[in-house]
Amino acid sequence: MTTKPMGFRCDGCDRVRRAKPHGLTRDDYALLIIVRFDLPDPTRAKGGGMMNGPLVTIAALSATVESLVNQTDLLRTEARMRPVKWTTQIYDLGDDAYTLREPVLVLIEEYPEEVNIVARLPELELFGEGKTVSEALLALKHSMLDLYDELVAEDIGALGYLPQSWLRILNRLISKIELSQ
Amino acid sequence: MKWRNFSHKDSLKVIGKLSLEPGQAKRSPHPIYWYYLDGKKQLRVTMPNQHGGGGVIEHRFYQEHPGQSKAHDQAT
Repeated sequence: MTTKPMGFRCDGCDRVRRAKPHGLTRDDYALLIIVRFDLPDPTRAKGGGMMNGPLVTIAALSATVESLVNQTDLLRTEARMRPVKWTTQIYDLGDDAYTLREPVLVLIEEYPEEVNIVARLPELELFGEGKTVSEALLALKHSMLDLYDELVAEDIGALGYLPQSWLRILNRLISKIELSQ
Repeated sequence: MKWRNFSHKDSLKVIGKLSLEPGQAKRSPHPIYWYYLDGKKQLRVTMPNQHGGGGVIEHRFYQEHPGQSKAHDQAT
């Protein structure tokens, strides 16, 4: 009948140490980790003894795991702050006096933490916000009409480079209807 | 990184420092201001419409401002 070894003799200090309950020593675990993850064997490193090498490996792994946990936390925070983005089209400006010549693609941003929605037209640097998508779209439409009215009323020579380009875009998109009394 | 908080009062300082001129915002809830350069309208700045001045502006709102002021490079 064979008995399980109760301990092992340390190469460095020549003392008998207790083995793990199921027969594997700390060094065995470390070696298993080295084999499993294909790490360079630290026991062959300069100055590393048979006992110190695996311990160094475990310490390095612990540090790596800790840094990964920190990175995961940072990513989780960033993902939580990042809005969910999608696009939708608008076909009408919500005002009888104006019509849209073609549907306009609008970028919607949903901020999960703030329960707020932003509708955005990046080319015109316009945005509208609201608690719901329709509220945000309505605010954006109002901003579009305000900008259109203001730029149309202005002399073209009094507009800078960007406002002139916005006016060109808005003239392509919006037409004003003269309502009969 | 923690967001720095700005109040409506802080945003009013921008109007004075950049000599922004008020624009027409008949429908939009936020007041509009224009930055003039060489007598021409160059930049459009949307300001928050909070009253009292003490309230903190939501960071999402002033995220818009860098986007609007970036246009300055193209305008000049």
